Amino acid sequence: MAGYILKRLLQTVVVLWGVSLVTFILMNVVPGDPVLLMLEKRATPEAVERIRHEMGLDRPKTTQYFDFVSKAVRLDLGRSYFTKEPVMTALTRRFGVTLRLASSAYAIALLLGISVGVASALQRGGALDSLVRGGAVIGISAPVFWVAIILQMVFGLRLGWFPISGIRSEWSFVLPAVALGIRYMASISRVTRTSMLEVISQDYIRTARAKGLAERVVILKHALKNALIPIITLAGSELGNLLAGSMLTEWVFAIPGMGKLMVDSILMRDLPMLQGTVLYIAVVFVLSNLTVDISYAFIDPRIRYVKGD
Amino acid sequence: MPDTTRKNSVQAIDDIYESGPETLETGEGSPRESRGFLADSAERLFENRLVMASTIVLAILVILAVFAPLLAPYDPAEQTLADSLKGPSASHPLGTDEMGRDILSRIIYGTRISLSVGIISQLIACCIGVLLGSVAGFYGGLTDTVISRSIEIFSAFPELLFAIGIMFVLGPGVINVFIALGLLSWTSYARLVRGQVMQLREMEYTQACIVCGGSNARIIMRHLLPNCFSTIIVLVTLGIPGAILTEASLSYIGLGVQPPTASWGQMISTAQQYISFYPYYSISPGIAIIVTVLAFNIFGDGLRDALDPRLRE
Repeated sequence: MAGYILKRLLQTVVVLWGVSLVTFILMNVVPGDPVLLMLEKRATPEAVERIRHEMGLDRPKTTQYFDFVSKAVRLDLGRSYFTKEPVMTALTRRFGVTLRLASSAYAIALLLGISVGVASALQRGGALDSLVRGGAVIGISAPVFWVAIILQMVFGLRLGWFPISGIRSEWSFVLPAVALGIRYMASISRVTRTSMLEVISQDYIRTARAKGLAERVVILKHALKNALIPIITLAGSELGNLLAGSMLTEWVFAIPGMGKLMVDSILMRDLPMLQGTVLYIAVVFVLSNLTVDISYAFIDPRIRYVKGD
Repeated sequence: MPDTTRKNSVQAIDDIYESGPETLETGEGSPRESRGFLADSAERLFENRLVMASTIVLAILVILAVFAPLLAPYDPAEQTLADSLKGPSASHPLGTDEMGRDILSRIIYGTRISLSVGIISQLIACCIGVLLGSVAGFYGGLTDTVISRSIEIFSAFPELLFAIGIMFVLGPGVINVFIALGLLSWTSYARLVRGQVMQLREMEYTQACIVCGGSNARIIMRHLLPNCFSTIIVLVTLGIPGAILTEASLSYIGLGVQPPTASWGQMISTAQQYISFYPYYSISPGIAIIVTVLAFNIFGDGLRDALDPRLRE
């Protein structure tokens, strides 16, 4: 077990190093001098030179990269070109908002996805099953931002139940969370259905029924518990995508989270902010995958041997 | 002389390989007619009525994209400002947009963008992924380690985030969307092909070809990759809907296809400004995306079940 964890940790370090390199390269091949973009055309060549020097942009790229990494390790991602705020401070503040949106969406997706999936498996071939399966395929095929706009139109404008932009109250999170949650609910319900169908046909379920256990106990304690492993894997691997998906939802609902920060910094060409956001999200993604993998090894001992040799 | 024998034996193995399943007939007296792999798969594919329906939808979409200038009732760029933001009518079945352009015509032209982005980006991804994956799986060792670690690093970015990053560097435009989405999805091809090639290179026929002195490139191209073919086709088909969705998202944010070219994502982005009094505008491009993505998803799932049941989730 310790060996497996150690191996995964080492792998993660390599991946994180690669992530920092890819991020740095991406930001440094952007056409156009960042200083010129920042100052537009008013600055004199001397002023441009001075600012380049102050920002350390006149140093060799390799030095700049090592500087970027050594600072990033100490959680210093530089300052925004425009607001002069430290990138890390802005990120931490925005991450709270995104996390709230993503976790609400996640809760909706898990609760509804699993219950709908179980119900669908229990009534295999029935009307409910067809409805759930059809709904799931459509849910996977619909763009998150479009679902968000439709929810805005129906529940925000037509019915006036929820606010459609900003985060003025708790209610502001409802529509974005539902919009984001629907997609993941669809994939979770699909996996739950397949996994439950597989488990239900096992001998021990027949045994549990033969013992005279209540159907509720058989389904919830015997079947669902064993059907959970693929669901946990999916839920874990979707966590990062959920964070990324929340970027679009934030954009639609004008929620000041990481996604909005990222798109805004692209539009303003605020390189340190953008570089920081990309790195931050990628690191969160990598670490959440690591956590899932390790916890998975605890849940299902077989993994350690298969994956960790 | 020894050289020709070597060539002959390599050729012989190629021949046996190519005639493959036919030489291993189902046996005498078997009631089952011998049929090719493709005919067999096609029958399995179209047994499912849903798959059949999705194939028809895809065919219609392709026809719309190819013959857009003939089928669209109006020029997608033709502006009639007096008619702007008019609801559905006999002359404009889906209404008009903020510049008085016909929404139906713009949706028909948008098919071109979505289909070409989906298909071309996946072909790019497929070329990169298959090349790197087969090299990693075949050579193993350090080559494999470097490629595998690169796969891990490139998959460490959430898809949309990576797409946004590349589009930021390349700048907006259709060609750049092809490239960005190609660079985004090669890892899944590489991962799968690597795994399959690793298995296949241990097979006896591969070993036989190595013994006979077949060159590495020949073994990979003629013996290993053809066996990965069905997996690759399934991956391409299932990769297309994802690419279409990502293109729509990029164009929605304003980083993808630029106006005046009609793209569904960008239409939704404009339509969002008018949701309070003109909801029709945002509904139709969204439905177009759903129908297209849905058709590819169903067709891809069907194709997977017919060609390569091992890939089933």
